[in-house]
Amino acid sequence: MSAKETAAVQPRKKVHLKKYLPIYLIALPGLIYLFINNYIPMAGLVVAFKNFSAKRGIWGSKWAGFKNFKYLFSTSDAFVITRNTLLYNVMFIVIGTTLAVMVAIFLADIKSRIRSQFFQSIILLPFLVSWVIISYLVFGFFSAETGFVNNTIRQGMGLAPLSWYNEPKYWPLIILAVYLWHQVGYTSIVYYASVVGIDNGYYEAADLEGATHWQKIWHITLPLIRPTIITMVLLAVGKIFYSDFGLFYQVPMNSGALFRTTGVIDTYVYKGLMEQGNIGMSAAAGLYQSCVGFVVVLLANLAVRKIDKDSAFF
Amino acid sequence: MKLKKAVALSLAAIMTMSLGSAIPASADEEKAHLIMSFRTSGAVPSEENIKKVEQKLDELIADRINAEIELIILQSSSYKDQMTLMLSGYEQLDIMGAPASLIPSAVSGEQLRDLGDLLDEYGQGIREALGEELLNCGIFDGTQYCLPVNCDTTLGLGYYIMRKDICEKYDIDPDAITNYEELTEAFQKVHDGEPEMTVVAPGSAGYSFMQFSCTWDKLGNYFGVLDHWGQDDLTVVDLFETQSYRDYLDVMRDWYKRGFISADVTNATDSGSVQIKAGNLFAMANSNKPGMLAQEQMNTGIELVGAQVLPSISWTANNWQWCIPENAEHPEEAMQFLNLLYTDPDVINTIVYGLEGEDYVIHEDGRIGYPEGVDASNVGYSVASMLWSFGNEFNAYVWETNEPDVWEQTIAWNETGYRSKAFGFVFDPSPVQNEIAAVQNVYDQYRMSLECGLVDPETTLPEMVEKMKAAGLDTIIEEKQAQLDAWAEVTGAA
Amino acid sequence: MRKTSGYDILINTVMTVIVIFCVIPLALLLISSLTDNSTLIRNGYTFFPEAWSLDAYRYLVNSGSKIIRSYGMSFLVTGLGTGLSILFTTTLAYAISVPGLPGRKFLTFFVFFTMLFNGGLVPTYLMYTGTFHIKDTLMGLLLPNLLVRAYYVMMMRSYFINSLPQEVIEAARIDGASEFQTFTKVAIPMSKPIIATVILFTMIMYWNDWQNGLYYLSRKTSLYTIQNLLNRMIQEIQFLSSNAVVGQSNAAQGIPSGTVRMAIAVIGILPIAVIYPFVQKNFAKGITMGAVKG
Repeated sequence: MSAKETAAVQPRKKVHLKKYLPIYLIALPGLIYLFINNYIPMAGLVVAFKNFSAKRGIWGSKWAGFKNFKYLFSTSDAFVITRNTLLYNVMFIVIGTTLAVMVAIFLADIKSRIRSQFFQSIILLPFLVSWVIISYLVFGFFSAETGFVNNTIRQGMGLAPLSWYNEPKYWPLIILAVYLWHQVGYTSIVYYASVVGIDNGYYEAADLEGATHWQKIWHITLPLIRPTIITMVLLAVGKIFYSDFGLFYQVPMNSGALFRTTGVIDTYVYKGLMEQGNIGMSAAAGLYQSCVGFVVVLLANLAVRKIDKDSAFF
Repeated sequence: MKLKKAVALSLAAIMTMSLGSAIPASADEEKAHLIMSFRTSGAVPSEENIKKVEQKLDELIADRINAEIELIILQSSSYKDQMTLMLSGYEQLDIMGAPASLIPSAVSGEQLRDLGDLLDEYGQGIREALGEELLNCGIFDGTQYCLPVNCDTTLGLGYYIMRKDICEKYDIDPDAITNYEELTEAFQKVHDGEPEMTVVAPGSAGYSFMQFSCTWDKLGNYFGVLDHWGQDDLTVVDLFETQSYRDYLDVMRDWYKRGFISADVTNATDSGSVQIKAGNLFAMANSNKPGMLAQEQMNTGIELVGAQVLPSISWTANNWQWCIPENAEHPEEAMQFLNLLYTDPDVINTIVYGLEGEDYVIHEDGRIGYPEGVDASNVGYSVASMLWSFGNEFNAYVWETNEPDVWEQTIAWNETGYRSKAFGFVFDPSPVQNEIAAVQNVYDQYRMSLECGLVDPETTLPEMVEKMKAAGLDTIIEEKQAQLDAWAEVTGAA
Repeated sequence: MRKTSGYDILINTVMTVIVIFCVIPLALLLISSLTDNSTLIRNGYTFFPEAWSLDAYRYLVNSGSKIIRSYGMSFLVTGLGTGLSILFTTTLAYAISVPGLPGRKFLTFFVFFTMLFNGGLVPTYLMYTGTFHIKDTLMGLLLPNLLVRAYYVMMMRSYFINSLPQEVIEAARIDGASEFQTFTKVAIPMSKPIIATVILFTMIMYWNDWQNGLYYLSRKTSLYTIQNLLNRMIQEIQFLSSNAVVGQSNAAQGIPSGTVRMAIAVIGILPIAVIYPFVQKNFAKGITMGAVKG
């Protein structure tokens, strides 16, 4: 490289730095927080490979290899819990996203401002109810002896009462319904923000050409909020090996008979460690879930890069 | 490269700072500052009220121990989690109350101190209060890590608490009921006469009837037990393949088919007494002990009678123990304080009932109750629901709802019933953690519906046993047998 | 003014059905909290209870002199937390959305990675209590885990990248605005919908959080937020009403155990339900302004 060229490059770099310095500066508080709150404790993940001893501390404890991971796979039900976790998450992502996007688009299209706001308020409320309380409400509907479904709906149709908490086959539907009830209003707010953020000019142009509502949704709204959808789905994919503990533990009221369809990795870990676990074993479970999520999300991101480069995370 | 190094260095620095440094001891103060933690199942007292009790305790111990006490009172439901956190770091904790489920991980994590020497030096009162046999229940892996508590150690199993009015209506004499057949007969009468009512439910939600119906020593976790109340020999057998378990299941199946048990029993959220109080339950299973009936009458506000259809048993009593963690800064003073807790009535009364005059008053007969205008919902300080866990409840005042001689009755009661030959043996689950997690997972799938009679044991029981074996039940039993044999060799039990 | 079309009827019908689906369990919640406790336990949760009662609320009012103070703590923590959080989150999200920023991909990954991996409760707790000594202080409610969530950063980043018209940003730059001015004067005003969304989410997160209080306030219970207090009451009641008597206790006596849980839930939701419409008004305002400018 000639001296002339180097000289030419140098000042430009400086300009760059000066130009972007404020951007780095404003990012700094958030980055420092994440470093402290998230990255430093990650070093603690090493206990997953240790026989943890408080006396020796995390670093001084003896290595245990993969011993702490063994219990995750020692059960013959490892397949069941993995399958359930994955299927539920896929179901939540697909159905949950579809519904939330639909609700967001409809909300934005409702002409009466007051009605739209009223709907928004109502559908957000379920998100504020804690899982313990939800489990009682679900029990109110599905209790064998006093439940609303058995006593009012099934009786009204002349059907015999069902012992819902001992019938695994109905639970994927019940769990899905509870999840949607709890989550859709909340998620739809994100999409709503994207939908109302769309430049009105697009719609005006479409109106001039005589487009129907469906055409506008299909050709304008959906393509323009696609990046948001992709972002939200990618974020969900990263958590694909996790499940909401309350939804799977509290809502089925820990009914063992439902294990086939409600058992997930998180509830297995919780129950397995309740009586005799140590922090090494719980760290191992978290690390395993994270690693799988990481691989899946990298693959998903790769796929997204192929379709829509701008929406990919990296 | 430089940046990477700097990041790595600062990371290491922060890690050592965060994980390696102890909180500075308050060395300049004269008195040892003792921190003690325990749980309560009732309302946690407010900060100000805890302060008052701490001050009172300081006064009480002032001339005997050069220490001041700080109490951390936590709620039952989150106690174990919070203790795990405190033990994992370097937070000072001098005295810790521990439920049985906390001990194995605390021991394998080297979080507890060996109490042997401290006990010899400062804990003579504890030794006397507990007696050698009970004290042995705190030995884990051959080391005295914990101190058990002196309370009702005998369980009156197969005890059914029933509504008196309904018994009278159907001419049922509870004292005449001594076995399952007679009980079934009585239940049938009630069922025929009160078809709307649930006849029987377990005392606690989340429990099946099994916990109240043992005719074996569960040896900690039911995976490997001693059959026949631990009276035969020290051969560990698979509970789920014993005739005893099958007989129990058959009774439950019969009851369920007769319609005695609610279909909602597997996921009930209310205890038996709450259901009795609400008026839709006739009887509940519980374990008997002196004062139990009076207590349940208080809770339900309904007159009750009881019938016990199984013999009583006492097995290793370690539901609650006191420990001195590695993080203790004043282990000697801690043991001195524990010694007072086990021996000095003023200490246990203050720590459990709070302040005289404010939180309780003493009646003429020596029992205590709430002062005027105070009740369970507004009392300033009381952890009375956990009285049994504070070392030696027999030193404490008797609450007014109990008979004045309830402690004498309890001491006599503890001498009754079968005493398992493995009394004092504590199973250490850590060598077979993986198997236990897997077997527990299988058991959870069947436990409630099988043990409450919802499914047919003829087909379901073999299915469960097969899965448990595949999950490693035999390995657990072998390990338990080995530990039990080693224990028997040391203690000379046969 | 256009006349009502088939499409309008359809969306209104669909939304009404969804809203009814949402409201029914909430109605059950409210009704159960107003049911007589013994009736509730005997007959289960029902829309038409035999006997009504205000016992649950009476119990909460009598036992809860702390409720008002805890509400105060909740408002304080939610206010402070949301304020700080939105500042940190918006700035970070904007930075990693600036096209051409050197190291942008790395920074994005740095943020995103925290969503996938975390050290778990124990190391986090050890660091915060050991190094930063936040145990039993207000910071214990504010700092751990809630302040900057990668999830919201990524959500905002996506909005900045996709919904901010690059022409407007470029125009500002050509006009001589510095990067910082572009951020405050152009990007922020145009992003009100997403900022309002994240404010709402963060508010709910801080409002609903009880774990920080549980783990970081073991002695200073006077700092409890309403969720800590209510959660503790729920746990107490659950324990007392589901377990057989163990000691000589009569603590469960007289608590309307079934209905009080429901009343507690109502009390926890109520403030957000009342405040939300006001937040939403600003939220809607932000949207129109953003839309007009866009």
